[in-house]
Amino acid sequence: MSHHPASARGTGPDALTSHLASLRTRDPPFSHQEACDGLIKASFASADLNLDANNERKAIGGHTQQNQLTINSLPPEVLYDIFLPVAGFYLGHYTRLLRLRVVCKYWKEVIDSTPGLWMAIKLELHPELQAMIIRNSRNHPLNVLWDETIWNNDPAKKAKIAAFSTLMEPSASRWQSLNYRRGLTSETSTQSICPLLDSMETSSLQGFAVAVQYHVEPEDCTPLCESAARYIGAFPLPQDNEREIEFGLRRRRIAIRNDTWDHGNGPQDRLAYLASVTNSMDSRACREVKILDLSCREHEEIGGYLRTIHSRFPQINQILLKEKQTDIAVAFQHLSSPLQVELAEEWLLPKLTKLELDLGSSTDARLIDIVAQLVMKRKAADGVEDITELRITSAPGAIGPGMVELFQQSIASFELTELGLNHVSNSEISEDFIEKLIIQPVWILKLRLKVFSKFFNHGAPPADLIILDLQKNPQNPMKSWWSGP
Amino acid sequence: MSAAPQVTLESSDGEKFKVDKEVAERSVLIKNMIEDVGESDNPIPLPNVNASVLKKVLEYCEHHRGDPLPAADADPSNDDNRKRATEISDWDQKFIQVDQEMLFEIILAANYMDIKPLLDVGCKTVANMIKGKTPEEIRKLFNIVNDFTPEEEAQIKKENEWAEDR
Repeated sequence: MSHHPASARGTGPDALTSHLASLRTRDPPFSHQEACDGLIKASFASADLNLDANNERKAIGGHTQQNQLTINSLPPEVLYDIFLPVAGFYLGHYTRLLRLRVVCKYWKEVIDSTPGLWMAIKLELHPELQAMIIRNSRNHPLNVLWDETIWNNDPAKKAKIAAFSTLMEPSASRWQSLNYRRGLTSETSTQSICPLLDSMETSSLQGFAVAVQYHVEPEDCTPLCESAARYIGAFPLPQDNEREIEFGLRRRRIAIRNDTWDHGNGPQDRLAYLASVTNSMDSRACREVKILDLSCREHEEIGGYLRTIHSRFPQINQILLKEKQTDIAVAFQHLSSPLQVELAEEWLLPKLTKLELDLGSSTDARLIDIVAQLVMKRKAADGVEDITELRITSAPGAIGPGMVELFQQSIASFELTELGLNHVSNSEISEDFIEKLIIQPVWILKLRLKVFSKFFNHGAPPADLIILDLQKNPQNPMKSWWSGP
Repeated sequence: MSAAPQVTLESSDGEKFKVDKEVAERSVLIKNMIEDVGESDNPIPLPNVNASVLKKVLEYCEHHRGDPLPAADADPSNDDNRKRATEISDWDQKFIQVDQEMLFEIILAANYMDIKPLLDVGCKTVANMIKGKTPEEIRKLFNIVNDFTPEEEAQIKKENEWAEDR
């Protein structure tokens, strides 16, 4: 008869109760002290701890044949490790988990007693299942997906959301993340989620995302923004192109895209919309925002947006612009000269020190010169930070005839931290140009090249995207790298 | 060149295994034991692991001796994400191709000896065996007796309908 290995904590259903405490607190299977204690006791103290295999099998509870180690010999914390991948990565889907509960009593007890398997709850789930999730998750963190858009055309939408809100209210303090998507009608967010947002404990909320469908008027957003504002600047937001306005904190960034603001009647309505939304945000939180990602389809509105952002987010030090979405030249005109405020001059975004530009397929040779002009004008101005870092993430079209020379003339006026030359095939860029860039007395930290085999005379590079990390270049003093995401 | 330090492990059935300390310390239990009681010529007894299982476990530890150890203070959410993934490397897949009883022996030993990567491999292997199967197929696969009363089973199946798409 062989001795079976056994967890020092015992096995099978009889061990369930003793394991639940550790599962509830998500302890690892063994703490160091526990492990040492167990080994010392088992090794040196007493032969009694040398468990008898037959006794272990009896602990299985008659679920299986005797004298055979089976899956139900495994302790609950190990079954949890097995059930977790079976249940699926997206724990908001409970079909597979509930199916496992049917297998036997032991599995059902383990699943129902393991809060880690019940950490996601969605608005559209069956109310009975929602109640089961709240119950089985005990006092553990919850990830909440509150998507009101799924019921846009459902006449019972209001009642369903109200019921969900009532159910969720007692658990609001243990929400770990909230992904809220607002539907077309406004009354529900005011009546349901806003009071919950107001009552939540910020200490438990680590992720917060808000998506607002377009065709929503600014005044409809105000209650939500007021309730949400206290969380702005503290938490990260996932990227989502459907959002008109994103705000999030760990990334310290506000992204504005006006291309879906078709509900307004013109530029003034859109500017009023932005002003209304940003005015609803907590001013202390706004000061934490450091990055502006601006996508503005109508170039005549760019100045208005910049002024609004300037007034609400004075600490912004980095701006991200894509030429195909925003007219960079127009944006830089507003940043290259001061506003006249009463009798004084005021520069927009005075803390600005970093530029990240995607020049797209633009062939406007003036762009690089405009960038250089911006840098030099702000350098000469009082009360304005110098722009010290430039990152051009893509510049294929802009690198045309004459651009090399322009680059060489302009580039000495600031630090080019990264130049991305994706999809370059027929440009004027030569090996000679690259060499000149690298030996310029400026700090080029990275140079990204996309399939540029002519620079690799000794064989094609193994990958089609090459990043030359020039930080290791002895002529290139190490400095803090780009702080963006 | 001096030889790598070694330790001796003793299985529950009295068999001794002399292995490099680096290999034995893939087990957090053994690592902590050595740290706490100091190095000794005495064999380290593992009363809950028999020789055939310990041999298998040490084969795993030997193969993975150079791998980075899981961080003790790892973010719990990263830990859960790692557990949710079901990919297993080719070598580990071949290693874990054993009969069910040995598979559960290895899992219990990994749990007892606190070898998280091996526990992961074992649990993911069982998870992959379960995936896509009906409860009845799972019972048959693992020789599990359905111990629900008909009323209890009906209630659970009713609860399962809650998870269907609405």
